[in-house]
Amino acid sequence: MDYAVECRDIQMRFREGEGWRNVLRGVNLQIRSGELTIIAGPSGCGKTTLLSILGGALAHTGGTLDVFGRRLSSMRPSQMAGFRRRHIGFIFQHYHLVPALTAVENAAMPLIIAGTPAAKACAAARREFERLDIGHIADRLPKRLSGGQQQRVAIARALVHRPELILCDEPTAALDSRAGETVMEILKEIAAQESRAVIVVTHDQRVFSFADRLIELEDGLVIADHNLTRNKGADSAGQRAA
Amino acid sequence: MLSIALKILWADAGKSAAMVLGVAFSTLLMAQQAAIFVCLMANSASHIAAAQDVDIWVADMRADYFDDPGALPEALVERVKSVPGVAAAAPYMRSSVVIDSTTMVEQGILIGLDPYSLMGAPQKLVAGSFRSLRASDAFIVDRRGYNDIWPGDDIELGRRLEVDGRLLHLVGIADPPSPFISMPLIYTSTETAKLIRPSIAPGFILARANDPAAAADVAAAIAERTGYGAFEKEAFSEITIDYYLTNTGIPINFAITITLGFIVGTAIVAQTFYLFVSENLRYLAVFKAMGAKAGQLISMTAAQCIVIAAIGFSLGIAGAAWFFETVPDKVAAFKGFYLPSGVFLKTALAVFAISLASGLLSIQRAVRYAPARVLQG
Ligand SMILES: Nc1ncnc2c1ncn2[C@@H]1O[C@H](COP(=O)(O)OP(=O)(O)OP(=O)(O)O)[C@@H](O)[C@H]1O
Ligand SMILES: [Mg+2]
Repeated sequence: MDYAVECRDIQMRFREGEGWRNVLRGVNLQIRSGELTIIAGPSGCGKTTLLSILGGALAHTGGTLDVFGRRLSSMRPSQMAGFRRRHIGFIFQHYHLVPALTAVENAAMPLIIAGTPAAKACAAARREFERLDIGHIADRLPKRLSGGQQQRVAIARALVHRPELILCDEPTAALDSRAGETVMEILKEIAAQESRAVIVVTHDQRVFSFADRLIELEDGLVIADHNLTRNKGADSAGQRAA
Repeated sequence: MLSIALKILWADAGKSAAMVLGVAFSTLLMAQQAAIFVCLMANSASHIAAAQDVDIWVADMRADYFDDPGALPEALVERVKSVPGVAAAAPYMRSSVVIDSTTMVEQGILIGLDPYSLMGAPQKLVAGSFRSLRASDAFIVDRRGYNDIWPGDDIELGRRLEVDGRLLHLVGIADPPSPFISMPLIYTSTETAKLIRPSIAPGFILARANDPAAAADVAAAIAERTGYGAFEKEAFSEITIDYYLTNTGIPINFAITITLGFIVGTAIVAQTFYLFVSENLRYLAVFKAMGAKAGQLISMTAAQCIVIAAIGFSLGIAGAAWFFETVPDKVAAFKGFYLPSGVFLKTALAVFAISLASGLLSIQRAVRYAPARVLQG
């Protein structure tokens, strides 16, 4: 089958003083659409770096990367920006909502950036809000939203332009466990129902149970790759129905 | 995208206000100083525009001439009259004198005119008549000079004034445009002027052309026939202004103030814009991570700059306009001063350049910001 994401021997090194620091040392991965993949590992092991590379926000220094059949490895920065605009939805740990804009305007930003007129973009964002059950907060400013609500606005923003790949960095870290679970349920649903690839980076063990697949990263290498769908299929189906 | 940029701008009311005020302040400073400068320079030639019935000015063109118009031979009047195309010619005498009003002693400027043709006389009289100048020891003073000599007094003809030790009587009040040098102007007949100052001689010869439209040609003919400088009045105004521009410290002083206004404005606007962009860097970077192009970030910033510049400029120029609307009526030194349209346009240009340049410099940080840093938190 065609993979959503295919990494072969991905390497990433950063300048550090006189020398280099190897943060990713040959990552091999295939990720399928329709699945929620969790990448876990200790702090500093390279999770965020890997996520940035997968999303075309950072150019890797070795190996090859294909996302939906497109070779990111050979793209120029402006092409990468275009790729992000069309195919990637980012969800950040700290939400990064613009305080001056209402929830719905924030969520409409990816469409506005892609050239959709603001009114049309906001209408699309509103539909996303209804789906995520946050229609009632659409016109509020971020400062009047709880953390869980802000993260759901951020999810709406990551979905509004219908990207095929959703990348989330520690989406639950700033949330209490109830709000964190809600966010994970939403992400899982998005992956399952709309056949998109959702990748969540976390070291929050409480949310591992939502994963279809759990990849463990350590010191720049994949050390384990668990497929959880088979073992817990009935389990997660029950959750979705609830 | 642009409406988003403006929403972000207004959300930070404090910074927006600071930027608007910075722009307004430097607009005010530059426009007001530049306008005063332009008006002052124009005033250095105001006696030329004010002189009635004159098309051509004949002058000696030595370099230090304008501060101290030198002596032309009186016979030159007849020679000028004899040039074809000249309808009339008269002397224009000018000298600084000491005036003594019994309450104070000060410097004044004596202007001797031909009392019959009245060529070169100021065009407006507030009181009295030009005809009375024909009487011996009669004088007309400008309105501002009157208030200087007899502060607070109502206009009253027949008053006596000692000019260079000779007692004159007042027969009229003139209202010429404000002169470059703010000293009382004492108009007399050439005869009276000679009685006051026996050594006085014409500083200029004034001429009227048969056909005012051909004044420039007639001036050229006068110059050729007499060997003196002869200029149509607009050209002579320009020469006079040029003289003051190149031979006095006034332009330097104003250039310094105007430059300071520019620098202060640039500093305030650039700094607040830099802070503003810095604070928004996080969000601009998020837009970048979402795939926004550099051009989009730049046009967002440019839109913010233009709005700030437009509001700031409007406030500043309104302040300058208000100054020229109210102050010249109240303060004699600014009489007739106004806001020239050239100053308006050039200030607008400078202000928009400052705002755009500082905005675009600030946005460079966002343009260069690596999108992956947003994910790093
Ligand atoms: N732009 C960069 N320049 C230099 N070093 C970097 C850069 N980005 C990341 N690193 C380093 O690479 C290593 C991996 O960073 P990364 O953020 O990917 O870790 P992580 O697994 O996401 O950690 P955490 O769980 O704390 O978020 C860290 O030691 C970090 O300091
Ligand atoms: Mg991280």
